[in-house]
Amino acid sequence: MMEVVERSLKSATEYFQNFFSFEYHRSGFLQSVDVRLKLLGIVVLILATVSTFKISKVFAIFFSALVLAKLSNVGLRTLISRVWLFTLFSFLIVLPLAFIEGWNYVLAFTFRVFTAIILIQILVLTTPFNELFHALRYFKIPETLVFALGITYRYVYMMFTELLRILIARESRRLKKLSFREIWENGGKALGAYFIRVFEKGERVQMAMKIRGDRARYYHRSFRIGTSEALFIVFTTFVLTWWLML
Amino acid sequence: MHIPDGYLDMNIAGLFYLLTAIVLGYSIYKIRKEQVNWVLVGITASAIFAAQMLNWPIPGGTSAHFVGGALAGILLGPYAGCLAMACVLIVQCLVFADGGITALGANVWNMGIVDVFVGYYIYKALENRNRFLAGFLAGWLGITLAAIFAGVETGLSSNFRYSIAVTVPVMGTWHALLGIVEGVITGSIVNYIATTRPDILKAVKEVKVGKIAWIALAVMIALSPVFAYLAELVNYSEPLENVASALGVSEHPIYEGILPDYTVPGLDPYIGTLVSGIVGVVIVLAIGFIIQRASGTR
Repeated sequence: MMEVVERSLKSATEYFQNFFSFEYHRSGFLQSVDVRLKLLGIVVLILATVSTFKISKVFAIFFSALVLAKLSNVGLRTLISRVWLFTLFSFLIVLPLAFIEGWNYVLAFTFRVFTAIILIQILVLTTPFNELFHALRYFKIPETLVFALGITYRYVYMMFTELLRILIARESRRLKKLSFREIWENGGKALGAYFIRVFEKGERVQMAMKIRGDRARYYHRSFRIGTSEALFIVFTTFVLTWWLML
Repeated sequence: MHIPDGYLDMNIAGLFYLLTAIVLGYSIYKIRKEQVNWVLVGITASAIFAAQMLNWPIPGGTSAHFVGGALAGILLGPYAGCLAMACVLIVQCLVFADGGITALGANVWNMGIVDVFVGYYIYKALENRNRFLAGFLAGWLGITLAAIFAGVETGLSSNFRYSIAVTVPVMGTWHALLGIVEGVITGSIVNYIATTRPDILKAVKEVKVGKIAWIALAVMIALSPVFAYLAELVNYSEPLENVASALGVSEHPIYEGILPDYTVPGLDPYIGTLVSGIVGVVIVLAIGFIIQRASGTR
């Protein structure tokens, strides 16, 4: 039916299957830090990164991020493979400004974006998403939002495969090359059918939850400062002091 | 359209976090009050996430992808749609690092609030005329306005050195073109669902512009002169006027207009600007009223 549409979704499904299988792997320093403290620490480091254009200050954060990645067994290749595209995109956007603002601005801007994305990726690669929900509840993010976020995350992969199944079912019945108009018409109908299935799925899941009589609830552990947490606080404080002194 | 970390100034990022928190908080309040099926909201969010990964071919060898804000508003209603898009954007930010943590407030504002609410109201205003056209305009205008907001946010940020005179036209123009894809997909999906399972669209509880919205509108109109005063206080001037001044270009209008440069000839400039503002508001409200009457909705 529509090779481009199907191919893009197929590659996305494979990417996400791969992504979800390999997210949060290995043990290491950041994996043992309480997620609430880790989230706060990473956000503070990102704020420090985007609050300056001084290359030395950004480099201090970047270097600290690499140390955190190494201590947490997050490979440099994994990090780079996840951040290069956004970084390149940002570089190309500000590239014309090299002739007005100079190369310093272009490089500092790109480096800031690069470092900030690396920090988010370190958080993602060392934290199970479910624990992030607990942290969000701890920070008083409304329950409805956190529950809906949990459902979104849990059903993303299923929704990918559902959509792919619909597209393959149509593709397997295609006998001739379609025009753009036909591709768009068929694509619209396929997506319409997909969203009807989504609604049916949503109703079934909600009914199943009601039948079970359970009420979704996030429990969080009591907060305590252990060795890992204390080390993380010392590390972050040291980095921020270094950042201030530069 | 996802703004990464490092693009926005902290004050702009903070302002949009605040605005988003207010609207999202109110949406969650409404969802709880109306006992909306939040499981459905979450599953629709994951479905929109998946649908965003489809690349749609455009003649000429390129492709564009779907965002889904207007569709979320039409299928779930504006409050639940807003929550669904917020979920999509938060997962994209925290799991895939698509969009920055500091820019999350602005990203949710653009794609989860502007796109959803504009899309919903456009669709509701026109659904009785032509369902495909209503869906198309909802998708197209929703995404174009969301992009214009992204242009305003980045343009007002000193971190991003392109001025607002560049960012808004670039974002607006590109997304007005790419938004055609969004519009066609939204229109097609809505049209298909309306003919196959109309009960889904009918189940959405209609949201009317209530008293609170009118009060908010009145407060904003009443406060607008304060912004003019503040703009003068910080010596703000139009970016294009700055460019004209830097290039030594002067203005030679071919038509002065009824209220030239927001003034009334013969009146004090401040009073003239105030009068011009009132005239503008009345004209916009009148046009809105006519469209509302013409579309047969209240």
